[in-house]
Amino acid sequence: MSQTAFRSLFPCFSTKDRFPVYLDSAASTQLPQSVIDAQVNYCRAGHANVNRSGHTLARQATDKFNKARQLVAAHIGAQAEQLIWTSGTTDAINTVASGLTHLLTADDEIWTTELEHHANLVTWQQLAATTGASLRYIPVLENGDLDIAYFEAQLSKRCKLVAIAHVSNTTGAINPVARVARLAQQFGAKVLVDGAQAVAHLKVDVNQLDCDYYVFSGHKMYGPTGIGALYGKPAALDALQPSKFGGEMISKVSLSGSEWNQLPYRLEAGTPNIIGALGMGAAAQFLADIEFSERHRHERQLLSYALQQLATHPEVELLAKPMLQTSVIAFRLRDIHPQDAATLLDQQGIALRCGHHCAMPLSAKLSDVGSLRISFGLYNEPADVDALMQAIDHCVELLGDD
Amino acid sequence: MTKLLQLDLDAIEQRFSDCRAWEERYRQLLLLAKGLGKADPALRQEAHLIDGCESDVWLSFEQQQLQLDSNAKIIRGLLVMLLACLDSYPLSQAQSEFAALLTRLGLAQHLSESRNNGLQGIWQALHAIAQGDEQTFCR
Repeated sequence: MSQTAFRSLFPCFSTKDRFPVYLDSAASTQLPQSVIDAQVNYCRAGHANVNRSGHTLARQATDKFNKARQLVAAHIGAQAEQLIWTSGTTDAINTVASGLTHLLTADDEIWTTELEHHANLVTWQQLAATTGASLRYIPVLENGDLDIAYFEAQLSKRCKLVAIAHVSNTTGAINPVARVARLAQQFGAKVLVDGAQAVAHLKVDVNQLDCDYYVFSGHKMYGPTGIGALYGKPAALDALQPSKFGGEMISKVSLSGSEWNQLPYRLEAGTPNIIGALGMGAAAQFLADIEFSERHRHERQLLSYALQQLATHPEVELLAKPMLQTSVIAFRLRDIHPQDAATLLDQQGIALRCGHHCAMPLSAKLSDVGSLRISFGLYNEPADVDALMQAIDHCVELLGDD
Repeated sequence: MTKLLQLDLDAIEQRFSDCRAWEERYRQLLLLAKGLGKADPALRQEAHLIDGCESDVWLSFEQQQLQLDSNAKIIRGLLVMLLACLDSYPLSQAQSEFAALLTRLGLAQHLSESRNNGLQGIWQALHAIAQGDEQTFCR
């Protein structure tokens, strides 16, 4: 499939109004027609609650809902019953954190890294505060990669959990999560991988990664917002105590007590986001329908072109040079505050992110005033990079004259 | 209290009146930014910091003297406008006049709450200092 063909699958790029040069897919991706259709068609055709009523419409809704679970599970190489619907990555991480509270004591260590999104950092700070466990960080090296050697040297059987991003949302660095999982599991620790920034760009196979939990969001893989998933190995999901109660998570209720339903329902309290799940299922199908090598080649070419253009621009400073990187680039313009740059780039129709990208500890390490971040989706083309470079020149010209 | 700035609102509007393209508006705004003077290290301290995700704004009010600063030039330009509004109106009215001014000058995007740029925090801080006395920052 050609570049233009990818773009043509997303209706927002053919609207009459001028659509921006969209370089903010790490914040949220655009929706292809098939994902929009899956949700709209379901609403039009008639909706019913799932897993409850036995009438025909309800059974049809349940079938579609189950099919979506299969599709999303298959996207990361998992089985449907290993996949819990959540409202997103943050919700999934919180489900694991509160679910594991009962297993942690003041003697234990929780490990995460300095490059995490706040969702995969603050949640563990809270869990450490609640349980008395120590929170430790895998440091970030100068180039943006993790100091795995430090982790390896410090790791002991005190470590009960490691929470690590598959891909950094700030620098696009691809972390060696399989290696981290192997190291941690030698000491019996559980491993959670935050895959929010990976699932749209890498071929993810949870069996090969061998992590205990893998969490991700619909809206960063061409699906809708408000839906995400928590994958877990059976024993890892069994270990989680439910933190929300009600609805299909219950199997039997009496006034003296209740019993929980089996997985995955036990961790899905209340009526699920059915429309969102169908959208996320359609997004997984959308990605499965395109040969991975084709997607990968397109994104690699785009990344190399952007890196080369940015690296050779005299006013651009790249803030990280990780060994392996995907679809995200952090940079600054020399002597220009990122917010000033972002404002003038926005005026020129460039949509990118400015600030600390919800990863303040890493951001502070890279630059004292935050950074600019561009990130790609399938719909981006080299022309978008050209437009960015032109807009940067104009921006430097306006801001750099004193 | 002494007048905060040389430029009054009319003079600011005048500067923007001939601007056609967005570039010209922002050139004017960047010129205005210079009116805020040099960065004062005594002001740029943690204690004076107003949180904003994208840029920092510092505010102090000591001996009836209001000082504002930012590390982003465009925000500095907007601060000059904000001070000019405070110069001409009581606090609450200054806030709405500031919003009206930005809208008239084609800079309304800076009022959006999706840009956590520190501007919203300034008004909150000013109201907190004034404690209901709308004339606190008036001449």
